[in-house]
Amino acid sequence: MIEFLSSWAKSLGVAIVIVSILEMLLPNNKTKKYIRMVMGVYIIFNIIAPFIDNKDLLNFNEINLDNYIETRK
Amino acid sequence: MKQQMKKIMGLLILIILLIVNLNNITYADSNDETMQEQQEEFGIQEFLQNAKNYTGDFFEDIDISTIFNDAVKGKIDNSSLIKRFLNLFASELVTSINAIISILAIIVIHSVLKSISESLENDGISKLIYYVQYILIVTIIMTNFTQIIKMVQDTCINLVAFMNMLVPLLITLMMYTGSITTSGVLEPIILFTIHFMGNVIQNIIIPFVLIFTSLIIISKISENVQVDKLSKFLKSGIVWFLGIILTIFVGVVSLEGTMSSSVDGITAKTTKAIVSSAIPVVGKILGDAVDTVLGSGIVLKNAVGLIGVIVVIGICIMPILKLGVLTISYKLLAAASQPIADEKIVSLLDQIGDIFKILLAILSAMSFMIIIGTALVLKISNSGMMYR
Repeated sequence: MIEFLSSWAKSLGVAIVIVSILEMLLPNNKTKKYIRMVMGVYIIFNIIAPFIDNKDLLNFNEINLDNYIETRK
Repeated sequence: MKQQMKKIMGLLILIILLIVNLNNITYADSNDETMQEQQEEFGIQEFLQNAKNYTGDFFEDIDISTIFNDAVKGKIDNSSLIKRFLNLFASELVTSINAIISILAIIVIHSVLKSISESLENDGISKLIYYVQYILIVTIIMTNFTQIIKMVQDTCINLVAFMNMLVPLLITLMMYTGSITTSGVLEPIILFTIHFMGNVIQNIIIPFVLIFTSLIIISKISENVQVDKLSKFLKSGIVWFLGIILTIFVGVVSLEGTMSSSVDGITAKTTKAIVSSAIPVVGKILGDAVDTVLGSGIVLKNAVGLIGVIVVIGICIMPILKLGVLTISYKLLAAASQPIADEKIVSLLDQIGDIFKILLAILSAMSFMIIIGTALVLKISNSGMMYR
C-alpha cells in the first residue's frame, strides 16, 4: 500500500510541476482561461485516477492481514 | 555438686545466647551483600554496559553505574543531567541559526531584485527571479530535512531495541519480587505496543510525512495550482491517530495492572501466612528472610526502572531538542520575513515549521509512551507489595 501511495504522490508531483511551468509560458490570449481550466481538469484526473484504477486493491472486505504480520515459528 | 552443675548450665546458656546473637548481627549486615548477589545474578552490569552503547554521546561524562548505585541507596542526583541538557540546548540553537540566516539572506536579496525588476514591467523576468529564489530556499530546507528524517528513524530503531533489552529484565525482576500475575499480563502488552508503534512510525507515518512535505513544496511553485488542503487533512489525521494509540496504551496498562496487582498482593500475603504457621520452628524466621530478600529485590527493580527511564530520555533528547529548536526558528523566520517576502515563501516556511512540529509530536508520543509505561509498571508492582 505504501508503494501505491508513493507512486501516486510522484505522478501528482510531476503533473503539478509541468502544469506550473506551462502556465508560466502561456501567452496572454483570449483562450488563456480555457487552457487553464483544461490543466486544472488534468490535475484532478491525476489525483483521482489511481484510486479508481486499483479499485480491487482497496477492497476492505478481504484485507489479507497475513501480509503485514510476521509470525514466529 | 549442684552448684557446679548450675554454673556449667549457666555458662552453656550464656555461650549459646552469644552465638545466636553473633549470627543475628551478621545477618543484619548482609543486606548489601544480598543486593550485590542479586545484581550479578540478573546480569545488571552487562545491561548497563549495553545501555551505554545506545545513548551515544549524551552520557559522555556521566557514569550510569554511579547513578545506578546511588539509586539503590536511595539518593537521586539530577544536577549533572540538567546541566548537560542545557549545554545541548545551547549548541543546537547555535547550529540552527546558520540555516536560518542563510534563508533570511536569500529572501532579502530576492525582495531587492523584485523591486528592481518590477520597474522593467517584464512579467517573465520577475517570475524567473522568484523561481530561482524558490529553488535555493527549497534546497536549504531539504538538506535539513533529510538529516532530520534519518535521525528520527534511527531514534525509533534505537528505542525499540533498547526496550527489547529493558522489558525482559524488568519483568524478570517483577516476577522475582512476587508479582507473578502482573508480569504475565503486562509483558505481552508492553512489548507488542512498543514494537507496533515502532513499526507504524517507520513504515506508515514517516512516508506520509514525506508525501505531504512534497505536496506542500510543489503547491507553492505557482499561485494558481495548490494542493494544500490534502496535506492539511493528512496532518490532522496523523495527530489524531497518535493521540488515540497513546490513550489506549495508557488505559490498558493501568487497568490491567491494577487488577492483577491486587491478586498478586493477596497471593503473596497468603503464602507468607501459610509458611509462617505451617513450618513449626523456623517458620517465622523463614518468612522474615523472604521479606528481606524481596525487599532488596524491589529496591533493585526500582533502580533498574529509573536507569531505564534515564537512558530513554538520553536517547530521545537530542532529536527532540533539535526538532524543537528548528520548529521555533522556522516559525520565527516566517513571522519575521512576512513584510518583505513573497506570500508563498512565508506560507511555505510556516508549513515546514508545522511539519517539524508533527515530527516532534511523533517522537514525543513514542518516548512518553515508554516512560509512562515503565513508570506505571514500577508503580503497579510496588502497590502489589503494599499488602504486606
